[in-house]
Amino acid sequence: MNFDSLSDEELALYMQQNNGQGIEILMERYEKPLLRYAKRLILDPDCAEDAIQNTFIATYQNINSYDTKRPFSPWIYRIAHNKTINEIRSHKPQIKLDEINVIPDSKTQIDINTEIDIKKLRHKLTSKIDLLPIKYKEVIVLRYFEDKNYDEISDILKIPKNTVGVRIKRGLDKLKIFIDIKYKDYL
Amino acid sequence: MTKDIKKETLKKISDEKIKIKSKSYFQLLNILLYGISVVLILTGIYIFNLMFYLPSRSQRMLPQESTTNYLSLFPWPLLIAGSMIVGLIIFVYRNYEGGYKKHLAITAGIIFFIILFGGALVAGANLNEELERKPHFKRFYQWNEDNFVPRGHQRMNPDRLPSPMQ
Repeated sequence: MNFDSLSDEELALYMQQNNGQGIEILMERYEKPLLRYAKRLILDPDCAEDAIQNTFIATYQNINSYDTKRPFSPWIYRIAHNKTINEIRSHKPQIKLDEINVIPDSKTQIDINTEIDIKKLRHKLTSKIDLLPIKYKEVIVLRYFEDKNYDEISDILKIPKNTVGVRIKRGLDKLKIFIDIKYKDYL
Repeated sequence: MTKDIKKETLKKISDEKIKIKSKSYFQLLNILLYGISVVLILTGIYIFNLMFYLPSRSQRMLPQESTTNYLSLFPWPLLIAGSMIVGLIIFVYRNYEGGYKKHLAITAGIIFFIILFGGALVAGANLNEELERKPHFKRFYQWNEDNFVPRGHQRMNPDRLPSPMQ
């Protein structure tokens, strides 16, 4: 069987029909991006690895709950997200972050179709992103490091698309204190 | 040193004999979720129906107090219980695929309106009177009135008066 020609969705369907065979191909495809995502959310790399190992085990166990008509990537990211959050909760807390008080401008309209110059912003975000509260950190990591669109982030985090936009805006507002993001220039 | 996640995961699956959960397991979970939703919706409608019905029942049985302000007989605890049921329905609904994508306030408003409207419809129908003809239900309605309708326990209920023979 040549798995290379199969899309993620077809591979998941194959796994459903063949009692989980093909999980190793799925792991090859998703190990790096999921580990990168987990390491951005969790400061301890060992915990991130544990979270991703648990993600693959949960993926294997629950593959029959995946709806093959829907994209596979948000589904597995959702599992990885939950496992990573579980790891964060079961270990020492991350930096307590709500020390940054920024009152977002509620009048600002967020045009979710307008994109910030991601490469420039990613470079500036890298060093300071750990200072953000987890709810802002997760959306910014997914958007600017994992290149997920608003729909996918909504599916991964199970929050409305508008909330994704609001959290990204507020996260960037908080980061503005630490770094010179003139993100309005990019809009 | 970083671990070989792929190798260790495959080893764990093999060593701990981790099995794939069957499709029927997830279908059963879905049925359970739907079942819980239906039960919650019906419970919510019935509670709101009681909320509308009990004050009118009290007024009906107290003709001398027919001018009593409706609000003074309003069973507020039932409104709180009904609202909690609505909260539970919203929680379950948001676990459905796509349920989380809807705006929370709009979802809550629609569900609250459906339950409230359903309760008013049932209260307007003959269902409560029919049920009250059965002894068990009569006691149930009486208990609700005694506990949830303000001043409900004070009224002179002919059913509860001591018999002249006693």
